[in-house]
Amino acid sequence: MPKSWEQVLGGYATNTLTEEEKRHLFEAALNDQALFEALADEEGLKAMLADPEARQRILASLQKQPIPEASVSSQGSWWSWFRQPSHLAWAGSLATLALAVVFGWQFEKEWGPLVKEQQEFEMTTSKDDEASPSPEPLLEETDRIKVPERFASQSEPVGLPPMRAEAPQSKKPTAAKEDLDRLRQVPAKVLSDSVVKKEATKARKLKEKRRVAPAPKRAFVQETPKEEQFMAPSVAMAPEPQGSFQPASEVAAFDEEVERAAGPSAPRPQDLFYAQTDRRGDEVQETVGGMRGQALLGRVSPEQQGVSPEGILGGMINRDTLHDFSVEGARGIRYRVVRETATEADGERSQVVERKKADRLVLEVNIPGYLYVLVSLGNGKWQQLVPISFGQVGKAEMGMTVLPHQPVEFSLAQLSQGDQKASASRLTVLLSPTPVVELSRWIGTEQDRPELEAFVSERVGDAIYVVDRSPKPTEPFHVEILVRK
Amino acid sequence: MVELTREDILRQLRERIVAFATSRGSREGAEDLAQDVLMVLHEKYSHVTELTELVPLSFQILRYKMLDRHRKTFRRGEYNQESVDDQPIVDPRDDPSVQAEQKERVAQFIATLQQLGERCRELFRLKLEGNSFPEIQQILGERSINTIYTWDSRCRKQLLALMGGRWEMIPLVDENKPGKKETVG
Repeated sequence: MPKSWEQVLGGYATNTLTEEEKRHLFEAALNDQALFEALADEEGLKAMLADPEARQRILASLQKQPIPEASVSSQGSWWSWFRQPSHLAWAGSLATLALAVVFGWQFEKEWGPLVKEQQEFEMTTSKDDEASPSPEPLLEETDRIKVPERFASQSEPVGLPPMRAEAPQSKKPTAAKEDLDRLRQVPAKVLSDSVVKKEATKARKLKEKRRVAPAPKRAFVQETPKEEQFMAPSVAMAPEPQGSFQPASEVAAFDEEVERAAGPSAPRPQDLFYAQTDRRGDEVQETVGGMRGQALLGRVSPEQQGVSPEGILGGMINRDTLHDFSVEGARGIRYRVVRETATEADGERSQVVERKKADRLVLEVNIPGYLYVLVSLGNGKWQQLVPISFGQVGKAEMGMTVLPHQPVEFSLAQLSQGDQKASASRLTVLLSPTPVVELSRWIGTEQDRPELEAFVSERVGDAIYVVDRSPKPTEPFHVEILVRK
Repeated sequence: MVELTREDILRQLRERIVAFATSRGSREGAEDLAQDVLMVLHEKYSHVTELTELVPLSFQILRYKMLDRHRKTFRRGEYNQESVDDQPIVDPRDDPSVQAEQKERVAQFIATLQQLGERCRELFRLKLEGNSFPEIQQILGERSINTIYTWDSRCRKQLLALMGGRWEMIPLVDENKPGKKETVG
């Protein structure tokens, strides 16, 4: 029951009072003049609400959005929503967030690979820095390793130029870093090819790291730039005839160990590569015309004095002569991959790492001998690469006789020609003082690496020097070169 | 509670009507107004004896009588003396002015309703949909019916105040003072 029957007056006009409420209300109205007058006044509202049309209009208005300010059109509500500062702030925040997401995605898409490449490069550099011992531990490490006698007995190699290994690591300008800086300067749209190259380089590095064999305990390799343009060479000793191959290790595999073990007085492979010729060149007084290496360095043995170039190139190098050469000095090869590009303004050759149509492998040796470049085709098949220009190089059976510092170029297009493509872009380079009879046993021996004590390598610019410092090598000089596809 | 007879109800109604009409006009006009209402109840609605029917019926007759007196006074020219020739021919249909006033009142009422709070509008909507107070209590989930009564009373007073204190404007004219214009409410 209501405290006052006046409270139920609101139900009189709408005619929604119950019978009990009506009875009590009217009885109270008969005794209460104020209530009676209130009921009489309610009669006007009751009459208005009794009209069905008016009642429907009022009911429809109540079923709309209740707030008078909001009782506008939908278009007006949109505008009123935007007019409120808080809503504008929310809309602005959402728009900013959306723009940030879009730009971030674009940035990651365009620059993500480069940033990752740089991070990986920095991580590798820092790791190398950590792995590189300070000068004092280096000396201790050097003391522990077994140094060949001819190097252990002297602080400086005989006849070698002053050492260049003291360059601090922070100052070494790596080719990859320069490439990275150069790539950052080009517009993003033209970076796509470069990004692909970088990604390929990254994948190759990771693959190389996984394939790294345990580092040899003894090696002499000077500090070399870490960044490379193509795979580091694989150097292996000749397998034993019985098939018990000695384990080989890639030169790049023991770079860290080599750097750690290399002391300030260790000779550089590049120096060793040219020292062989320098030493021999000192013994002769004449040059052989038409041959760049001999013309520059005079690398002719005493036995070859007086022999015409044609005689030398015509396969007249006897086995003893070659053998004598290999015995007395560090034998080595220098190789690089060259590509010609027509975009160079000066017309000079631009050397890049990719193997494409015009890629060529340029080999150079520091001793005369028989040179073989083999590529495995899989399933035990193999192929010998044919040099591009063979005019100045003698040919002996399936190999070719080469002279010191005589560049020999091979087209890498041979790797993808014919029906049988090379299963892997791994080239096997053999440099032997005598003709190699059984070449097949040198194919696929890169998995077994010997503990190389005398094999050292260095990467200078785009060229790689691999030197075998064995005192008396009896087997062919065997180098595996990985060429990126 | 003692059941009131029809005579008791009519007697009390007369007193209330006279008092009500007196407050809106003159004493003489109020008695005449009450007499007219009772005459209608006696002649046309003699069969209505229930309190719940008789009282609202009397309110309805009272309103009509007040409006009729207002129209008669207007026709007599007591508000504004006009020539008979100027008066238009009587239209058998509803007075257009009445219809216009009705529409205007409805529009004003709707606008006033929009100024109420959400709860008041919801209450009025539920009432217009025919729900009684107990039903509204259930719909709104309130435990006490007095809460609904209190809410509705406050909303009614607020709505009435927004309407100017009266649901409709009925001018009353003291018949003894021709030409005097009074306004009920």
